[in-house]
Amino acid sequence: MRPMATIRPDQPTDTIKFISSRFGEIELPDSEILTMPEGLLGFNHLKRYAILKDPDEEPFIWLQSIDEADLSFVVVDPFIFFPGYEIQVKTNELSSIMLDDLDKATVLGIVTVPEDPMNLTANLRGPLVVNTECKLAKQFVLIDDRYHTKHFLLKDIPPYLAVPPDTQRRTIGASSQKGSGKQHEPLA
Amino acid sequence: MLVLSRKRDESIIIGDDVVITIVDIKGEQVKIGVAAPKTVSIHRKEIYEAIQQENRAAANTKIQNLSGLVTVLRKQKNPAAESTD
Repeated sequence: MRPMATIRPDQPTDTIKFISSRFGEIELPDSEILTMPEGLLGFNHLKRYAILKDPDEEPFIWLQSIDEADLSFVVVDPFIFFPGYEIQVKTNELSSIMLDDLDKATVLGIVTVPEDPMNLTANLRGPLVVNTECKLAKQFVLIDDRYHTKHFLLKDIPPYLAVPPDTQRRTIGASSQKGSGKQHEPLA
Repeated sequence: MLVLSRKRDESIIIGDDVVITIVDIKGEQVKIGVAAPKTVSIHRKEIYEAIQQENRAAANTKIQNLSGLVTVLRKQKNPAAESTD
């Protein structure tokens, strides 16, 4: 499991250590901690998360609670699977994560992996919007009735999954920009 | 629960700054206007609850490792990739 960014040895930085039931002890620089001032719906008391990536698991990413070792979510760039996905939120709602423009945000869909993992779904109705610069995030509730909480991810497997792992990262970056014409920076 | 009777165009105020107005009444459906500070989120309750419920379901992921799933996806999409693994 690798943190989002590596710590450069010449840059002393404060770090935070926490325990994940899934991944064991993790140490990350403070600057990598994602804060959700309102928490996730149903988990409002938990505000701090870490984003953990493993190249072998991309495009899936883990969102691990810092304060609750047992709590982790699988998240994914929804535009990879649903290139036409559109998010509309009011500008004033973005201000709580210090954003004035959705185009500057990274969007993540929370994935539910059921008993049969092949039936995994993404919640497109309640996307996470991340301000990657300030490391602030919020779960939005869309009013758009086209989207619900269980969109099957694997009905049509995206072509990039067929490419070898070493070329995958670039492909992810490229395909993540398709969504509704907006530019979405990869988190890495 | 406090229950109030209101007619069309009448309002109730909650605290100092949340105003709920009955905009229209047609048969079984009532249109409600909510004026609240920008910091207050307003949602239809069933959608809000659906997302809460989905978050809880997502938090209970039993799967240990997703790389297996990714491999399955690649193979399913492109059976030829199997030989390269």
